[in-house]
Formats: sequence, C-alpha cells, structure tokens
Amino acid sequence: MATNTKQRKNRVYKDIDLSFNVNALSGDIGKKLDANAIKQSLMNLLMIEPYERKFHPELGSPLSELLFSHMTPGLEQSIKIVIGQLIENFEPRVSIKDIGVRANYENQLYEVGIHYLVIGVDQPQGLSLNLTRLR
Amino acid sequence: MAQLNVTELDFDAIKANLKRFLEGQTEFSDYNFEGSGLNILLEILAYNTHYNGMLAHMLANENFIDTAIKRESVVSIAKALGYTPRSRRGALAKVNLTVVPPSTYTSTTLQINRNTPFSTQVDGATYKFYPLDTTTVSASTAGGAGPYFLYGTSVLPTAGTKGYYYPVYLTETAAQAANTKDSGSTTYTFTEYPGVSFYIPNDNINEGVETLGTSTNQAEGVTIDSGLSYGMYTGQSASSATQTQFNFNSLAIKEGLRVVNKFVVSQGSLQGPYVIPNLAIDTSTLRVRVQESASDLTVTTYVKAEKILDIKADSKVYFVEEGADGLYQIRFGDDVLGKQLKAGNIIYVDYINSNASLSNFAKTFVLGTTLSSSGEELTLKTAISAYGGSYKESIDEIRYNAPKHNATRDRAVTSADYESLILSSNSNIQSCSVWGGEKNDPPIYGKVFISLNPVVGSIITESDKDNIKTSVIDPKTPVAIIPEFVDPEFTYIGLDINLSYDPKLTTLSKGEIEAVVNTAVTNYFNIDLNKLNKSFYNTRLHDAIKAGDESIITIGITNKLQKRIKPEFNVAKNYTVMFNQKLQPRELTTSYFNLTVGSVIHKVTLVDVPGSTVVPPSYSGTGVVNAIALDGTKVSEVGTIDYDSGKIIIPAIIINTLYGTETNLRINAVTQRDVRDITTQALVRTSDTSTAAVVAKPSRNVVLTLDDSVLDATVNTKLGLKISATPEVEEI
Repeated sequence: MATNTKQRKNRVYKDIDLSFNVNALSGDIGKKLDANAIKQSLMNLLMIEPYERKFHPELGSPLSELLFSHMTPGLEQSIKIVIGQLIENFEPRVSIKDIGVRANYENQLYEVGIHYLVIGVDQPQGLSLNLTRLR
Repeated sequence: MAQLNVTELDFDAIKANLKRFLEGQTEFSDYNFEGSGLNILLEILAYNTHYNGMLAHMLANENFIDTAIKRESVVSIAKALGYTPRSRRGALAKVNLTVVPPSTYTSTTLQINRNTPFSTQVDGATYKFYPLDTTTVSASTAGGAGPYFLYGTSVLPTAGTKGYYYPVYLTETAAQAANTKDSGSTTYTFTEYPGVSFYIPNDNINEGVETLGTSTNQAEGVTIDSGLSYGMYTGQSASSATQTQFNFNSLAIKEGLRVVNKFVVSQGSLQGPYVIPNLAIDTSTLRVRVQESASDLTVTTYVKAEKILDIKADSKVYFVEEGADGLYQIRFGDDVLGKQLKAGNIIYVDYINSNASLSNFAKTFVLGTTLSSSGEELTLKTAISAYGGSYKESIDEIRYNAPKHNATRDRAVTSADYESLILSSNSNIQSCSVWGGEKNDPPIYGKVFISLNPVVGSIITESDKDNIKTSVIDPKTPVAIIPEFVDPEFTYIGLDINLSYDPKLTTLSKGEIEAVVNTAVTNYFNIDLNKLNKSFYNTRLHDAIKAGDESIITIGITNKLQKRIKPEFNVAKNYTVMFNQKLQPRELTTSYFNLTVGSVIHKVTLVDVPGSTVVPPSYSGTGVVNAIALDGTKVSEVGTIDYDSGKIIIPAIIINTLYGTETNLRINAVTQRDVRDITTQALVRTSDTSTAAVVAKPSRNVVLTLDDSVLDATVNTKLGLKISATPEVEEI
C-alpha cells in the first residue's frame, strides 16, 4: 500500500542584519530570520523614496511627501493607501490583514499599525511605528 | 557553484548574475526581495561593478582615435600623431582702399594699423574686420588728364569688347591727342562719378588693352594697378591738377575682434603652457611677443614652430596645441628645442576672435576712422568678398584628417602628399591635381606639376601660388624637385538626352519630366564633376537620371564635346585642341569667325573631312579641317584632325574677329558611338593655343564641366544640354 506522506516545511527567510551586529557565539555577521527578516524588509521599503535607488526609480513610496503636508484627516487615508500599495507591489511574502493610521495632532505624528501574515509563518505579525511630520 | 558571468556591463544583468551566484549557497535566502537587506548589498555591488565596467570600457574606447568620443581624447591622440586641430577661421576679404589726404598732410607715406576696424553687415548683424598686419604705403601720383582705364562693356555699351581695358581722359585735348587711328572723341558720364565728363577716343576699340600690368579686374568697372602711372579716379574735377593719393591694393582684412592677453612668466612655468582663454580664437592670426621684464621694455617677437628640424637652442619659437578643455595653449622652448623664457618675462599674445562662417560673403565694407587727417577722401572697394570663415575642426574631421596628415609625415613625396598639403593650406582651392613630370609626353624629369581649381567665386592669385610653393611645398619636398603650376583646362560636355516615360506612372507633364532630368544632370555635374581628377561616367549619369522619376523607362545619352579657345586677333597663330577621345568623322563644327586668307576676310566655320581610309566601324585615321563659308563653299584647308586621339592641329591661321558677344571660339565635336565615358587620365597638352612647339602634358589638369551653350544661329552655337522626353504609348 502506497503511503502518501505530506511534509509541511515552513519557509525560512534568512536576511543579513542591516545593523551589522556581530553574532556573539560565532563572531559572524548577524542574521534576521523569518518574521524579523520580513519586518526589516518592510521598514526598508517604507523608508525608500522614488528615484532613490539607482536604475530602479519605481521602487519606493511618496510617504515623505505626505509627511511634509499639513496634517488633515484625509492624509491618514492617503498614507494608508500608499503603505498598502507599497507592500503589495514589493513585498510578496506578506499578506496584509489591516493597516491602521491615526493622526496624533498633539505630537504632530501619525501612529501606524500594520497587521499582516507572513506566507509560510503561522502566527500573525504586527509592525507599529510613528511617522513624524517632516517640518 | 554557479557559473559567474563577468561580461555584462548593464546594471540589471550584473545584479542578476550576482543573484544567480547566491543561489548556490544556503546561508542567505532573501536576495530576491526588493526590501531585503541583502538586496541592498547586491545593488551596491552591482552599481560598483557597473561603474567600474563603464570606466574600463570608456578608458579603452578613449585610447583609440576611431572610438574616442571626448574631444580632449581625440585631440590628445592627434597630438601624438603630430597633428594640431584647426581652430576657428575668420572670414578673409580683400579690399582696395584709396586715400586722398587733405593738403595739410605732408608725409609721403601712410600707414593703416592692424587695429583699424572695418565693418560690414551680413544678415542684419554687424561684423568687424581688421587688417592682417600694419601696412605702410608710399604716396602715388594720380589725376591730371589721364588716361584712366575702364573695364569691360558695362561702361561702354556700344564701343568696347568685354575683357579689355579702355583709356578715358578728363580733357578732350588729351583724348584727341591719344587717338591714333581715328579722329575726335566722345563724351561719357558715369553714375559712379556724377558731374564729371570723361572723354574717350573714338577709336577706343583699338586702344583697349587686355591687361594692365599685374592688375586684375574685379568687376568694379575700373581697376588700376599701383604699378601704373595713374591711380584710380577718386572724384576729382576735370580741371584738377595731379594729386597725391595712397593706394592700399588688395589689403587683406580678417573678421573678428582683436584680443590681447598678457602672461607673466614665473620660475615654475618657464615653458608654459599658457592657456589662451578664448574658444573663438583664430590661431592663424596669433602674434606672440615677449617683453624682457616690467622694467626692461625690449620686446622680441616669437614665431610659430612648424617643425623641430629647423629649431635650434636659441630659436625664438613657440608651439601651439589644443588643450584638454578645448582652449588653445602655447608652449616655449627648453633651451634645447627653442629658447627658454626667463622668470619675469612678460608674454603678449594677440589674435583675432572670430565669428567663423557667419560673415562669409560680406561684400560691402565701411572704414569708420580717419587714416591721414581730417578732410581726407576715402574710396573703399571690395576686391574679394569675405570667404573662408569656418568653425574649428570637429571631432569627426580630426578623426579623419589626423591619420592622413600623419601618413604624409609632413613630407611632400607622393602626389597624395602634395594634394593633402596643398588642400589644407588654402581654403580657396576646391580641387587639386598633382602628377610627376615623368608621366608627361615627352617625360620631364625632376618636376612636379600642380593644377589648382579654385572654389566658385574666388581666385587663386599668383601670390597664392608663390605662397604654396615657398611655404607649403619647398620645405617639405626632397631636393631637386621643382614644382610647376599648370592652369586647369576645361572640357565642356554637351549632352543630347532622349528618354521615354510611362505617363501612367507619373503626374508630371512632359515639360516637368524634362525639368527633373535637367536638375538631375546639373546635380551630377555639380557634385561629381567640375573638379580636377574627376571623370564622366555614362552609367552614373544614367542612374542619376533614372532616379529622377520612376516613370522614366529608357534613356539615350549622346556625348558632345566642346573646347573654347581665346584667339589672338589679326595674328598668325597655331591652335591645337586635344579632345582626348575618339571622334566621329564629319561632326566637327565651330562658332562663326572671320578668317583672313591672303588679304581677304571670310566669314567661316570649320568642318572636318575624313581621309579615304577612315571607314566604319572603327573610323580610325586622320582627316583635314576645312574652313567653309556660310554657303558651304570651301575657303581654305586650315588643319588636320586625328580621329583616334581627338587631336586637331590648326597651324598659323589669322582670325580677324568673332561674332556676337563671343569672346571664345567654340569648337564642337562628337565622340564615337562606343565612347561613353570621358576620362581625364590620358595625356594631352595643357594649353589650347601656342605659337611655340607643342609639349604634351597629362590631362590631369582637365576639368570636365557641363556645356552651357545656348542656341544662336547668328553665331552658330547649339544647345549644350538638350533633353527630349517622349511619352510611351501602349499598343491597344
């Protein structure tokens, strides 16, 4: 009788740690694994402006332009759309569940929360960051 | 391990190669995602590789003259080949300036300074011209009764023949006294000299002279050379006495603005380079002078070094080269090759900053300053309109010229060397043909023959030829080689073109088709011929006509040849004409002329009568040339014709006059049917007329041009270019 053995193997993402910390045990350069690697990637993407990368002007988002504008309720929605499109276009390892943007007028910043699933990783992930206005 | 491809230069291809390389390891896996840290490192690596690849590629390209793109690279390579790219050139014009000073001016000389500006306008813009150098002339005497000379027929519509100078006088007495064959004189006035009456002897035709010393006519009506006793008339009244005037004849003036730069020599830059801070410089006008120091005002003029063989340790020379930034720079010697400067010397560099070709064709010049003193009368006439202005040599031109210049090694040895050197020395020369005397018939060893064809609208003067001989050829040619200039000779090609066309394939009418063909023929001659060393090829003309319109089906071309000789009237003279092609018997004709036989004058034309051995199909042999009257009767047998070589010899005939406005006797012949191409390679003599023995020389001096004759039955000339288009009718 034939045996159909289904093996599930979680995809392991291994990226270099851009903080260039040294692994205390091996002395090698630090790594980011799985969800942490994705988080680093998302942070990188959010920080890239269009035309910043040589030969790839399409990469990046106009976040910094939006952060330069006056804080209005409409901008929250714009930031949300921009972040959503950016992740959809350039980070195929992520499936977005929700993006929340809230304007904090008192401190002149936007509180951003991204809830997503990493493909190949079971646990839902979250990334919270504050985007401060650029002026 | 994945194969590493290292041949890519493109950023994305390099990055893809790196990714493919990373696929061979398991340590990192996120190289495929744009946001990953590893991707950033990959981009840095790819960018760096791309940058270095481009740099290596560009460095390799810029090392060779064929592939270099940057001007500084091309110029640098050209420098290694001993070639200095030509700078901008200001347009050059020549003017005849006559100054009649007021009576208070007592000096016997007058100077025009090199900084004296002439101005002109071209297309609404004003340009300044300056004399090439400060020029001083001595006073000459002009005025009195005359004679003055008028040129051509424009001023003497009823009396004179074009091409001659006619004497005119300010007093009737002087005119009648000069009248040798007739009596009396006629009064004329000329718009150029309002209010002044001139007296011309009634026999002025006999008094006309062909040349005035070494003067040349420039179509201004009157031209008087300084070598004569009389100067150009400058507006005196008829009663005025002889007066003093200063003639600046053929004064060369160059377009641009004069600029002076000053450099102080320091210990660290005894040899330079001293960069001339003007991109628009015309380096041919450079003058470099060195002052000893701020306190010692002794000035020495340095000359441009042409070749190092003549330069000694104490030679006061400078070198010019184009620098990396496109600016020209000058360098000085090192006490081995040329004298070295000393610290504290002051260099004065003056030159003309030109507007290149913008002022070409300027015709009218104005001198805004006074040369002698207030009250002087100035007459300024243009001898040669502005020509030769050009932009600096382009990168492509340098790429083309530098290797060829290097191939001559700055020596005139082969005929190609001569042609290259002569053409680059004078922008007035459109084409040039050079051949060794050993190719002459009979050979003349030790001589090099040079024929020069000027560009349309300009002339090559004797001084130009002297300059080419002494400055261009003599310093670069082996010893015991004598250059000799030979005037270009013209052969006029007439064409009978019969063509058929399909009217259904075109919207053009018969006349328009003929006009298209006319344009095609004219373009063929303008582009492919009208130059020395160019041959007429029937097939090329055929192709040019065929390309004129797609409806043209068949083309038939018959070649006719014409030579024009300028006869000397009333003198027995030999005339030899070389058509240099196999000629068809019984086709020789000429324009009408009066022939003196004995003491009787006959109006005749020339025809050929072949000998009995001249039979088809080869028509080989000789015949005689007869002068026949208008009624067809033979007046005299005047010469012979060789149908094989196309040589016509007419010994010792006396031509009395020509008819109509003709100044040349036109001799027409038709080539044999199998002669389709007219080449300039065979040997012929260089002159149509000669009273001495005939010396055969190569036809390398022949310029083939289109026969522009018009139909005139009174003179017996036929249409040079005859085009007949026939629509082809389809059979139903």
